Amino acid sequence: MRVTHWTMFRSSGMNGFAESLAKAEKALGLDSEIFNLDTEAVPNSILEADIHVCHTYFPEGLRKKLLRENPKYVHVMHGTPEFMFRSAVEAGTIGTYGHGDSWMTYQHELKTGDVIVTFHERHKAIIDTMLDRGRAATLVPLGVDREFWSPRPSSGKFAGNPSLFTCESPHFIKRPLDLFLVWPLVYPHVDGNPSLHAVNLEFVTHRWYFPLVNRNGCSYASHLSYIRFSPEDLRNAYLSTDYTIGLVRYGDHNLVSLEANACGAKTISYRGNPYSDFWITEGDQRDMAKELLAILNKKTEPREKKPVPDISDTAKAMKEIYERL
Amino acid sequence: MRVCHWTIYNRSGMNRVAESFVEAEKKLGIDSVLANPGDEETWVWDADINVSHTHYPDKVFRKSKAPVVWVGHGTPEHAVEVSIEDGTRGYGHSDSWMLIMRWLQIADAIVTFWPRQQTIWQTLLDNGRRAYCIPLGVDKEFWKPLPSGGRFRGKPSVFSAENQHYIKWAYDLLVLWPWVLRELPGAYLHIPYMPHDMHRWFFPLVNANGAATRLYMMAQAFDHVGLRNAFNSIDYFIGLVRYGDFNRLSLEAGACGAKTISYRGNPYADYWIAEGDQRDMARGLVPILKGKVEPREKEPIPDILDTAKAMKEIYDRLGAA
Repeated sequence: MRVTHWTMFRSSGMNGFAESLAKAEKALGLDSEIFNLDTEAVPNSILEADIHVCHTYFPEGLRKKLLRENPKYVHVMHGTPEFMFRSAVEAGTIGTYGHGDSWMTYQHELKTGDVIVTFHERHKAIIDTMLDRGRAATLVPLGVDREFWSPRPSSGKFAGNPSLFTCESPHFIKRPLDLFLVWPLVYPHVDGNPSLHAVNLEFVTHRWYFPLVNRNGCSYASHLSYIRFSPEDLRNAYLSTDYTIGLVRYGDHNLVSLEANACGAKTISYRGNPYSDFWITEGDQRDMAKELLAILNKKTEPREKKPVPDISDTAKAMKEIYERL
Repeated sequence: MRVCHWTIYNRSGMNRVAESFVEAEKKLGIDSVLANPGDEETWVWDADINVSHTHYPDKVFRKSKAPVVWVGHGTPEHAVEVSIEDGTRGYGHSDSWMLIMRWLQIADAIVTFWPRQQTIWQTLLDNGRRAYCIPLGVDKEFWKPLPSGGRFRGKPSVFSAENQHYIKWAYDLLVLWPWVLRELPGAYLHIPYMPHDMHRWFFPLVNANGAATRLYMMAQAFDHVGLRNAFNSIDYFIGLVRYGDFNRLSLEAGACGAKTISYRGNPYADYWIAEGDQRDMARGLVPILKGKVEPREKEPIPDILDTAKAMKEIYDRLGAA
């Protein structure tokens, strides 16, 4: 069985995940390849695939070039419904002609996929309301390469006692705005000398974040940077800080939280992420501050969390889907 | 004492709040007037106090020696998000966060209506300065229980009429509505004020997920009399404003006697649901709509005169003539 994973090679988390999934499928004996949607010349070996797994989208022009009759499409819905919806509204209300429309694409993917895959129970519940009778999204565990993301010695502890690390993608679903509003309410009351480490802060957002964090005192007890760690450095960061905090809206889990967990970090998320050690409640930042303070001062017991799936678990679940097709 | 309230005349809620301030302050004997920063003909140069609701023109600021009260209508999160959204589009964009930071620095008094936002503004102020939190009141002579002009459809009927920006748009409510209908097939949701330029996203969603089968959603905006009638004609008002903030709409609905539902935090709402996973929201909402949850002990809704009195105290403290 030949499988092609289609993604744009943009060094995003989604792209990295597609790469590791293709690798894990190969380890299971599948003839899986990953291919860049932006490539003009596509070799026949790719066009001959039995199954096409779309991680971003699948251009119509490419569909016409496929060499196999009646190929099957597995659509992996990486973006949250909320992200796709709001991005479409943001793009579409600028007032310019020819804007993108991720919500339209999302609905098209739902309609045209032979199988719809999601990694989140919450997303599945939403997607299922939008599918026709008799259809349902397939829930697959989102796994990480646990050989790579594993506990090992730190190359040097990060500043702060305790130290708190965050490295989310800077879009509205998980940007650290609430964390930056909360931190000044928390750090003066933490036992010890706490420090927040926030990386991945895109340059384009500095003009808003830095006036905020310098005025509200957040930056005084923080190390904030645009820096984007390599996977090795990111792993070291998880191993060198006391807590990893990822405030993803609606309590969704993501690769960062899974990787941090797999490395043995103590993880904090909004209520709902089944893989994190501690939950805080989404909403009023004063309540968030109280809950975060209790965690950092060790007044809250970690919750019973689910074990982090390995990427081979994801590959096995995908293989089952391919076989069904 | 002459007080000038500066607001753009754009019929927004903020504009209406400023208008209601003027009317209420007049009742307290204050010579309050409105001015539009966008129209020089309306400008007032001799006020004892200037109150900036949207923007206060630099020209007047430089000439006038009168103290300035800055009223923070927009939430901090809205200002940052809108700035990022505008600022990542191109050259010459506006920057509402910059404006807020400037007003926090140069205003003689900072006013908010929300204890949550007061906490955030306070972190941004220098030592010794203070953000005032005053009650946001509504005109309770107008917003009050009255006979309905005819009940809105639905058992129960649920009404929402928020401004459709991300802080309070109807997305989450429309995602969870099909799950409510499984338990309450007779329920109807009423959503006016859905702007035409958002129909292309909201309507495919509600038609695909089935919410539309028990939904009246349209672009029509009610006038105040129509809105008051709506509050008097429905079983529940639901306003899902992020971070549990209350707003004028929820106060007006509450003042009309509607049973109000909000995210956790709004002290004036009868019922709270948790913000986050929409499945949990639906699980919280269904028992409320079935009448199986006791309403919470809510705070009484302030009258606009309470707001005016609190503003007058601030003016007096600033030493206005």
